[in-house]
Amino acid sequence: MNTVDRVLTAAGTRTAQRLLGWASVGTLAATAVAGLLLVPPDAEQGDVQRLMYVHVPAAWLAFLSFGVVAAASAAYLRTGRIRWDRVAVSSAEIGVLFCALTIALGSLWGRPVWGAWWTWDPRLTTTTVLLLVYVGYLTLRRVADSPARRAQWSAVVGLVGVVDIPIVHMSVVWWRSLHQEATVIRPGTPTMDGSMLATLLLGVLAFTLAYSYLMAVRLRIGRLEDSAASAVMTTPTPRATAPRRPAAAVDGGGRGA
Amino acid sequence: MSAPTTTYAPESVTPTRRRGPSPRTRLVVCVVVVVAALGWIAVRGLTGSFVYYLTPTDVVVQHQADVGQRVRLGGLVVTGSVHRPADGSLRFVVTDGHRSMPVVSTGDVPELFRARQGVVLEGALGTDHRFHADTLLVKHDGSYRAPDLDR
Repeated sequence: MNTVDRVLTAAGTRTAQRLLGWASVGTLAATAVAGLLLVPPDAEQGDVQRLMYVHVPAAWLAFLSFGVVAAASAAYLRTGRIRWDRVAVSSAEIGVLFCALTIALGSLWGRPVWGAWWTWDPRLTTTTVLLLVYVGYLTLRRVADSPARRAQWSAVVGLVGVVDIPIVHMSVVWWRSLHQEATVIRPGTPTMDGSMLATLLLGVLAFTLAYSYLMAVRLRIGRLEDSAASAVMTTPTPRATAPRRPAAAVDGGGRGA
Repeated sequence: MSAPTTTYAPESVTPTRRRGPSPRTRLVVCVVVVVAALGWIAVRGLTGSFVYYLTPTDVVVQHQADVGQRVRLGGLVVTGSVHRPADGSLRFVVTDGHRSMPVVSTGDVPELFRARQGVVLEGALGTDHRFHADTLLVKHDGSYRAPDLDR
């Protein structure tokens, strides 16, 4: 716990955020140069295969984000500390973004190679379910009527939803699919040329750094939001401090100060 | 509108009775929806009914598709079976290693289509015992190689 505290505090400083930001910009630029200029095109698919260097890191980031949501949700349910809820919602927002990006990039790749923008293949279907679960997670947060209840409900969904990650990963093994099977995380050696694999891993590093940067910024926003909200709640409203007027029934309810 | 209205208080802090289902009910509904979605996938997967495409064996031996019923058919394109008759269609034979099935495809042909490639076809079995497909999808494997390493 203390280590996590220290990491969160260290990532919250302005210097750390600037460092993470520039590191992700640098590695993303390096990925773009390597993926577009240095690495040869695929023998069969040609240049369109270069989409892999962003499609796969985006998918990895969706998995990472939702994994962090589940871990933070479990931590919230154990400790009841609202900070874990902030970690969970920050990660969920980033995860939804990158899960949608994964589907969009995959669609762009699928049209020229498969011959279809979309098909109800198991991998595509389970990924859509993953996206919907965490869109639902974010929607649920708008339904709850108190911060504590919101944190508890969403922690349950954040923890249950993670079950879909192994299903998405194994979908191409368990079921007949159009999507190709895993190239890197598979039994045996990766079925990819060395330079392509190196570029892919660089992309994964770049996206992970971008995730860390986005998380650090989003967590700071979360802290500021919460302190602003608590300031509003403890400050008397103008109506509460104004002198009572006899005809105060303007909002229909007639509720006074 | 002459009455001075200074109603810019954010919201009432006094507990008010909400309309609609109770918070607990809404939580239960949300959790049930998520669990049901995941459970649906798990059950469909385990019972084997979550099938993206049928194989020629499924169609020829087990008769899992009726004539005219819209299904997907998957398999490998048999070498030497691809030809384009004058009517503009694409004809070939797909196999799963045990059984094979002749296909008449009328849709777009992806660039990567060739013999010994995995394909998924959308269409229906005809009375002529051919599979009439309007959509041809090419399945590629997960191996990536530079062009100059062709051996």
